[in-house]
Amino acid sequence: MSRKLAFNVIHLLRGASRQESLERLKREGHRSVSVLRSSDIESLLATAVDETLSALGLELQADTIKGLNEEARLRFVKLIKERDDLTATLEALKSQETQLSVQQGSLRTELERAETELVTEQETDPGTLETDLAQLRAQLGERLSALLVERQADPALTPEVLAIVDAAIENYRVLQAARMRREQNARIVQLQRRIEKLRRRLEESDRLLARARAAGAEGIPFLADIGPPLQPGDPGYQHKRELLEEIFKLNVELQRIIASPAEAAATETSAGVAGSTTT
Amino acid sequence: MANSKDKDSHNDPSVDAGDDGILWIGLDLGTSRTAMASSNGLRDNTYSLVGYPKDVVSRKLLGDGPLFGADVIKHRLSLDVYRPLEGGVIKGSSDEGDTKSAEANMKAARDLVKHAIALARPEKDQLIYAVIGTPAQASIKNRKAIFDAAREEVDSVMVASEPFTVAYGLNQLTDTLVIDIGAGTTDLCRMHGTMPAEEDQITITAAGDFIDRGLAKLIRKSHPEVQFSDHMITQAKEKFADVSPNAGKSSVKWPVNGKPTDIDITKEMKEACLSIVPPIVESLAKLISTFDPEFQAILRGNVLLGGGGSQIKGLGDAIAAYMDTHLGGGTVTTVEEPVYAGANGALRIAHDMPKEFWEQLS
Repeated sequence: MSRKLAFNVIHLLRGASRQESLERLKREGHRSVSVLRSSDIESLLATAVDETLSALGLELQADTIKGLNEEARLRFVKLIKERDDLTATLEALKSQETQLSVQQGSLRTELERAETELVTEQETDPGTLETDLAQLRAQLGERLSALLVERQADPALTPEVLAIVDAAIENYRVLQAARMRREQNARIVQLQRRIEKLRRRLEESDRLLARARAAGAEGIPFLADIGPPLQPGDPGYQHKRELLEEIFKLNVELQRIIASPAEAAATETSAGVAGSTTT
Repeated sequence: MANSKDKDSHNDPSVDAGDDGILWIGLDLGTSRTAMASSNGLRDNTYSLVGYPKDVVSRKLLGDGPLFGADVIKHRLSLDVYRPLEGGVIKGSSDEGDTKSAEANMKAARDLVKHAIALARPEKDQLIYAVIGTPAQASIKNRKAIFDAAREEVDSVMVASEPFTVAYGLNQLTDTLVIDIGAGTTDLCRMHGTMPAEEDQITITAAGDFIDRGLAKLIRKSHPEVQFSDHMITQAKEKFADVSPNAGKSSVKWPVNGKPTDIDITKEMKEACLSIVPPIVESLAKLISTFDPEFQAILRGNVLLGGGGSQIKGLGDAIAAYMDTHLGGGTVTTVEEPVYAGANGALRIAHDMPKEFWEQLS
């Protein structure tokens, strides 16, 4: 420090001085000149600083200086460690960025697959079992007709019986169609939910990736910024102010009860402070 | 507050030393972890463990103590170890039982609070105003114990319900259900624009320690020959807890008759972690069903999941799926910084609290 100070002083003195030759000085009658070396200036400054500190009562004892040096050394070692920790954290963040990118890729693929499935499901006709039911109707019609002929039933009965069979099969067809539509709708709803979840995860992954990239680019913030306290004009100020007042009142009441042991015993309940309107 | 944003000032906390020499602190005293957030920007967390050297030899080795957090785990064989918080409140602060044990836990709690405050690196002549989160249904005695633990270390202290601090910190003060999964308790709180009342809050014991006990039981049943400790169970949970459909394998190397052996605990891990879902959703059901029917759907659609337990991968989705089946639907969002959500919220409350209120309480 004193060396730097000495250098600055010498620099200033040089700036304020002018050069004269030795011959000129001899002609002016000077037989000798005073010489002040930079080491002398440094020594003078050191003496001046020490004397000033002594005069002000700020003189540092040798063991105090030693202690300060040791403290500075320890702080420096701690800073080095913090730097190493931050470097490691930065590397971890970079690795996390890579993992997130990969994860995001898979999410996008999964989302695309889900959306394709959804389109396919929406466009697919759930089916109506027409062919099977037609076959069933034909078989039933044949067997019933044969049975009625065999049993020598009234010929007028045949069309009535066949009509009842048709009606039953039609009802069954309608019920089945409704069931298949319901199942298809349920699958569609499930797919839509899955797509919604994937989209949310993708958005979250985008946010995390952006944060990881930002942290990697700007360096890790050493501290978390709390921001300014609540002020009039802030969104929700009045509401928050009322809540804070209530917390305060409840704590005042709590401290009053605590200070009064008899009352504390009487009011020993599971009521919560800042969580109950009764204490 | 002088919130300097330039990088140079970030290396010197004293630059953000707070208005008028005040340091605001938010504390979340958890059964397993204690988190601290302060207005000078520092945040830190530590295991809620306090250790005192057992004898002359350990004092020589470790100093006079006390030790905290990871140091306690490392040197636990040489220490009398205290986990002074249980169910989020100071042990022995509820019952009339063992006075000696209660006093020892109280001392450990005071030392833990002192250590947590020290993590904020307060300046010598700074006023310290702290808000401490307490479980939703902590009793007067419990709160008194926390007050007493903190009073010697700070100039003014207030307590606030933990799930409320989470909601306040996230600015979710209306139409929100907060689930704060800790080690000892899970707190649920219904936010509807006003201060939550007793009926708006539920505390259950289905939390981190519950999972640990369940996991230990399942592993003992399927691998009776394996040797493990409570700490090993907790470590395995913190490393592998995952209930998502594509969860990876949970494999540990634990001793069997003294020989380290690979043990697959994937099934047991998932089952233990999922065991807290039904009681949580049951509690959610109570809070939703007793709410104004016109707003129940909004509440169901805005569930915030926080606390250390929310770090179980896929837990939010698992709770949402269970809500789909049993409550007709629900949307669960896991908070961004589960470890600090409570402390951040408590700090926010402390910082927003008008100074004159602090002065009246000090």
